[in-house]
Amino acid sequence: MSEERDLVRRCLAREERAYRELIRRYQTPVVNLAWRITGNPDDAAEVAQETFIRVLRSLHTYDPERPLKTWLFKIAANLALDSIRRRKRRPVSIQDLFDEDEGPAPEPVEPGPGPEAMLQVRRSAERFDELVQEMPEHYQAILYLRYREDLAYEEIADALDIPLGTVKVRLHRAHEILRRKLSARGAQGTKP
Amino acid sequence: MKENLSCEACERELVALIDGTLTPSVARVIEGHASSCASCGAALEDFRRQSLRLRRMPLLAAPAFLEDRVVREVLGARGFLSTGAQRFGAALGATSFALTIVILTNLTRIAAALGVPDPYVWIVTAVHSTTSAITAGSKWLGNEIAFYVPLARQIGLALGALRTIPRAAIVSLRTPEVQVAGAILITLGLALYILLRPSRRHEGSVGHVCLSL
Repeated sequence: MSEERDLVRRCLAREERAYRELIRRYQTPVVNLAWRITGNPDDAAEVAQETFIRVLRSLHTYDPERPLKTWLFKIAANLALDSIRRRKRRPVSIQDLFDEDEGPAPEPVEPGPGPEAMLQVRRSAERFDELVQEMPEHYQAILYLRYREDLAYEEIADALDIPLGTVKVRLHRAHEILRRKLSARGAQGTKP
Repeated sequence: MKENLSCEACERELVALIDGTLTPSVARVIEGHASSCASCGAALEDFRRQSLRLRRMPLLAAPAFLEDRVVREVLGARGFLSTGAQRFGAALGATSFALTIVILTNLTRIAAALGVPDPYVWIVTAVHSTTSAITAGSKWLGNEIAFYVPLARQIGLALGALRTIPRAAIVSLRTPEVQVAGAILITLGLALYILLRPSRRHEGSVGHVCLSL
């Protein structure tokens, strides 16, 4: 936290190196939250750019008692929502996402190092993410913040500017939707 | 809640149970129900698996241009200077502005102290000098043009005359006098060459000596 405060202090002193450090540290989470809300990588990049510009310009209004990341997410979420209001949402190819995946490779569900098993795992992960991407953006955003960014419910409520109860309800509903879709796909998959 | 917990109420709390946000007492009740109810137990397992998979959801890489664009936008064109340099530049600008104002307001006094003409005469002098320079320049240019243009024309005519030489040669070769003279010259030349050509047999002859020179 003190490191974060120091970074903010250096940014307020208009240190270019501090600006770059702040952007490097938070660019992936901000881009991904924007991507989950807008559903489009180009729009997400635009939103992230605008987010950082706003954050760096209005850093003097930032409350150092709050986590910087939550503040960034709040601005990014608002801008992303503005962006989808302006532009109709477009679907994204799942292959593009895996090509640019920075995260760790999906762990195999079943043991088996063979290429066929790996391919099956990959396909399964792709199908799962397709289902996530088919969900409305407010569910995707909440799932991303909870499971990828490991934010607490209170932090999610703060970042998305929604009541704590709504966070809880939406998370439950998101899981329910996923479960229903997964079981429907499973049933389809067993058909000859 | 302990006694009358419905499956619906239990399922609503399953995600919170996985995420560890329930109080220990509530968590115990939910876990107890899930362990004794097949439907809620299955839902709990499914939600756990989903949570694990969601933690591995793919990430989009941030575009490479983002950092530079943001920094350029925020710092602006002069923003790449350090804060100290910016402050120094601003101070220098302010000082030079103040100095200019002081000089302008005291220009007459400064001119009198330095022994130069009144500043209000400077403008008239500057206009006069400028017009004089323009006039002198135009005159010089006019003279240069007046001198070089006829010269260039004469050179052009001379070069044009050169073109008549081959034509004159062809015309003159057609006259019998020139043809006879040419034949004599060629014959004499050949005869001289034969007489004077160098050879081993005539080593030391006049022709050998002449050509070896």
